[in-house]
Amino acid sequence: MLLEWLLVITALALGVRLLGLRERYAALLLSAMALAGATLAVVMTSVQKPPPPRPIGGGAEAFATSNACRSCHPAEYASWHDSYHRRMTQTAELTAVAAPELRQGGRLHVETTGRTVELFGRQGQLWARLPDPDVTSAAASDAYETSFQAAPIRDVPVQLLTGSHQHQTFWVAGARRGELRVLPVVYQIDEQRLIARRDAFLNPPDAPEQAVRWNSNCVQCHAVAGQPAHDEASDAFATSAAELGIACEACHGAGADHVRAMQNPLTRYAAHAGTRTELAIVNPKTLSSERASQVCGRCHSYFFPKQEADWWQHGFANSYAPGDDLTRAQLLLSPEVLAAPGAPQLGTSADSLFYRDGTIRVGGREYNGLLRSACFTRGHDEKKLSCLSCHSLHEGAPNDQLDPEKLGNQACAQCHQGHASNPSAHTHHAAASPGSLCYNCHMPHVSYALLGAIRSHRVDSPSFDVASRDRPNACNLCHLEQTEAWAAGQVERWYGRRAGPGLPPVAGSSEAPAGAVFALAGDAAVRAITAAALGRHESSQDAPALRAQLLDQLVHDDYAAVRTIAERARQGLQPTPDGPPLEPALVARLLDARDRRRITIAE
Amino acid sequence: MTPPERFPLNLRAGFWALFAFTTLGLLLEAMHGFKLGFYLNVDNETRRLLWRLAHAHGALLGLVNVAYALTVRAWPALEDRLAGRALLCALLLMPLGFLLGGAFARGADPGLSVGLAAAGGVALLFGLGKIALKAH
Repeated sequence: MLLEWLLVITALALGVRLLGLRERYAALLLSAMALAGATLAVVMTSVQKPPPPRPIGGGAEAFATSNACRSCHPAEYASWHDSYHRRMTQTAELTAVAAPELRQGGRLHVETTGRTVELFGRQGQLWARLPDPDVTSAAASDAYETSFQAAPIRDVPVQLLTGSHQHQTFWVAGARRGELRVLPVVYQIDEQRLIARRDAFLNPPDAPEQAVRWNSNCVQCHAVAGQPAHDEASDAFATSAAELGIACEACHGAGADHVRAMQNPLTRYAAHAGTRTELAIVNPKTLSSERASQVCGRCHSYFFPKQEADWWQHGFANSYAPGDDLTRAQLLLSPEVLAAPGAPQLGTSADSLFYRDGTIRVGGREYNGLLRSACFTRGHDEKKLSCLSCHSLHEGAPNDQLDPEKLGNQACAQCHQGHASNPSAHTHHAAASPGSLCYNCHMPHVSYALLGAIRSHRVDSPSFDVASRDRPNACNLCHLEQTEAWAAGQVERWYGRRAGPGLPPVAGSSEAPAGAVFALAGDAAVRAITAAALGRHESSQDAPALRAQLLDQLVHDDYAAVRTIAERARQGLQPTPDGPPLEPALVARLLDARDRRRITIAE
Repeated sequence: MTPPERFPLNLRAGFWALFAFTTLGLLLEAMHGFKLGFYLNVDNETRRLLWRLAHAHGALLGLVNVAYALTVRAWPALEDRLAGRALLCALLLMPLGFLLGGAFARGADPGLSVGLAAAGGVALLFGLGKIALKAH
């Protein structure tokens, strides 16, 4: 600052000397110049604000951050900049807030656990008015609600935001040093409304509010090289991350060495010419299918750190970098792993996470599905399925990031050319119909995520055995009005294989439409998935009266998430003059047979 | 023996400015070539903009001063001492303001020395206006 002032004064003195003061108008000119200069300088210095204090430290030295990547990789930087990955974690400036009302200076509020939580902007930053989080976060989890109802109201600055696609979640400083606590409200981006956080996830109606800490959960995937730095004695944190959000180095590894090497133009042009191959950076495209998929699987899987004590300090900094063997760092969870002695204790049941046949049902955990796919287990070399078989992070549109050259059946055609060139011969559906798209039968929407259903990434064929009975089959997710036995019969007729030993009827009725079985007798996740299927366009539009009747049931479900999805589906439904096709007695029997396992998918 | 001709200050300053700010342009290109983070990183967008402005304004104002000196030689009646000094002042302050404003930039905000550019801008307007009035 002093140096800058000295240089400014020297420059001004030279300017005055150049002008001289003896000339007519010289003094007037000097005054005008001084006024203009001072005004601009004052304006400039007055807009400089110190960054708000946040309990997130600086980055690790080995990481260059995305700031350094742009100058050499502008197109990749631009595609990443448009992505939801970049915006997964952001500091809580109003410009990053998804709610237009808040960005425009308005306020949003919602009632939860008997109190009002309000969000508003103040000096460009998002703030919240709510029962004092220092009080509520210090309470034990079973005393949270009582504490929330009794705590005094306080205004607190929001520190971080999570999400920019479906939901936005808000984090404030907790009572312990360095910790970030989640606010009990979530903003739904499409619906443009603030809702209670417990209603935004699949939670049993009587489940207590979950006290989530960013430092011990989100940091491992929603930032680059996140390190919790947990102090066990005080339960405090000195959490750091190289960069907030999922940025370049999350997939390409630490880049400081690469940046240093590539500052030399000779090195760069040698790399362009292909004469230099050691670039000190990882390109997942050049890795094997297993290792490339592990780069995504580091986060897109249900896992537990193998070196738990080290993880609480350093995250995965010491155990994994893109290109390494992920199995050294993470224990991939499955029903078998969770049933084994000494299995990690999770905050949720295996029933919530997996179908009985081991298929993951939590969205965002696609790597678990990939590893159980025949295209992965039986494929080899270039014919082995990997995430990059279908996805391209820099070429794909932000939504799903699918490779533009592998849309429709093109992804599967890389190996299954015969089926893709004449789909009807294989699918027995019209070529242009949804039934002839490979993924509608082999990757049905049976994963639950963020108030919706997404495609399973366990690529398999519809099956009708008892082991997979709790997972809605792909055929009946479109043909909801048909029975499961009908779908099993079609599959057996077309593909000649036994569809299973025969499914026992549910609720004593072999005539119940599969949609009714899923919607009325299924567990909470299956009901949510069925509600989403009832509203999807590619689902059969037959039997509108049945769809209306099932949605009428689902909008009164115990689980708030099921109700929300059903309400959304019902908005797209055309009114029908037909009465409800299901007999009340059958409805009652299916409801009696409901799978009432407690399901929690809170992410 | 006739003493060597003393060339007008605006002409000399103009050519020296052209030399200095063309050199600056070369330096900026080199910084691109060597991918220097303090010039190219996203955080340094303001610095990059201001230094490019310094390069452009310095070179152009050098040309303006050369043009003024040559104009006065062709049409001595257009000579105006204060206007000439104002153009010199603009040549000093405007590019220097951008250069220092970029050097001391903090985030998206230039250093306060960018105020020099505004002062130089006033001097430039004054000088050009005075010469234009005289030529009218």
